[in-house]
Amino acid sequence: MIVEYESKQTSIHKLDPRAKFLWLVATIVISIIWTDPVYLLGLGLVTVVIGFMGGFPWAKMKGTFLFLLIITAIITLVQGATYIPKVVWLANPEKAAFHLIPGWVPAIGPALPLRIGGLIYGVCMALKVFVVLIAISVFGYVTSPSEVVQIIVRLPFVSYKSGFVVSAASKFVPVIQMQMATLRDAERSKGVDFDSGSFTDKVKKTTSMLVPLFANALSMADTMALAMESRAFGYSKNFTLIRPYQMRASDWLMVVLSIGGLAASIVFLAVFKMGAL
Amino acid sequence: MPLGQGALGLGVSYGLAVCYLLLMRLLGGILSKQYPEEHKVIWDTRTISRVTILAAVSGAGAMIKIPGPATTIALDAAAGYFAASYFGWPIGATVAAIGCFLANALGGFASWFPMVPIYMCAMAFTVTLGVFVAKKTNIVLAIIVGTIVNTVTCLGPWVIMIGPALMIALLPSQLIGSAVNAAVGLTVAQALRGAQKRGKRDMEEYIEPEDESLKM
Repeated sequence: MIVEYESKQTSIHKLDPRAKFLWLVATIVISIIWTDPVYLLGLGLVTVVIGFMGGFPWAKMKGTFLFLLIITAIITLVQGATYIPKVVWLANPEKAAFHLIPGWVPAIGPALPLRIGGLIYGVCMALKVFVVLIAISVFGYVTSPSEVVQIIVRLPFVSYKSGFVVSAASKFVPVIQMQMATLRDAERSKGVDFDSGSFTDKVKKTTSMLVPLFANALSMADTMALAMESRAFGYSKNFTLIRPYQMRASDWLMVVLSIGGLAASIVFLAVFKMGAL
Repeated sequence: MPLGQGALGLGVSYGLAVCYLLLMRLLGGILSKQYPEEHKVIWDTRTISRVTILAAVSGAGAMIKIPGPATTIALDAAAGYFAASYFGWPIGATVAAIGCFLANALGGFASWFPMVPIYMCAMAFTVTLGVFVAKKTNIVLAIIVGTIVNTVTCLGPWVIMIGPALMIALLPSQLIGSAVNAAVGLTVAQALRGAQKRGKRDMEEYIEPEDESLKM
């Protein structure tokens, strides 16, 4: 994750992980169905407020925001130049806001018009990306990885084995990274320079490091299987949870607000076109 | 005409993802029928632990960066190809899907979270197709097919949603990344299988003279 989980005593941290997950799902779905930038901006503001309530460290997102700003600016310009959507509230979406090659350029200007409809649509897409990124980052910051796994395991249509695989795999990533670092050091001690040579050379050098990595991984998997079987993993289809959760009033409030907000946005969009571009 | 990043565009993209899964099931079914000893999988504890560790390798692979000609290449899909070739397509597809999720999660879901399930389906289908072609023809053709299909399946939904203009810019890096992952995954699987065969042969050769000396 861009921002790692931090254990804090904020009102958002204290919420039941299921309530936080429902808020995340509702935010993502609403951001998908809405296409009006004003509405998306409102949704973004609500997400930012929740982030502030959870003590989210915004400074850590600076690099990611800057990178996304460049990407979304390109998307907006491309949409402005190539796409004219049907805008419900805009009288003339195909009207050019400005030209990339202005009129004072002799012989070729004005050319490459950026149309208002396309630009607004591009801004709306950029906002969608930002809203979802902020929501996921805030969720990741206020919800511990083990709580996320508890949510996956509790999903009615998902086998507990799937939850176990995702949980265990995420915990093994640092172990594999350490092995990779050891193998890289071993290769370096033999005189291999990973930074020099052509692209093909670099791929070959990395591949030579991956053969022992995969062999180690298979041996680790066998050891893990033995450890799991010694604890009778898979003996019964019924499983118990180490941490049973109990919903409190604040959790129910979050659930009601999330589901209510989602239902209202769908109904108002379908009936009154509220949130549509 | 792009369908946009709204419910319509995303709905069609999810429909496409379902098609990837159906195609994967079809190809996988053929593999399981024709090569049951290699592609029929029993989901016991050992299989689950293998999927777990290989998915972790896939997640960690996202942090192996090779500086490429167009952009930096991450080896996040190599474990999926490896698993499909070495343990059978069901394990490969599962590793590819979970590995894709982990790699995206570790990167902060920077490439728009609603697309992640589509990428997961695309990766599962690609590794199954890659191993299918490798089994029917050879590794080189499997790498070529895997590269093209991975590029099309991952960028296709974006073309549906926002049009081809931006995707053309992303094409070179996607093509190179897909090719390197397919080549690395399939080659490492072949190398390990070769080493395993050599190891077995060496063991047999080692045991044989010992028995003869005992007879003498």
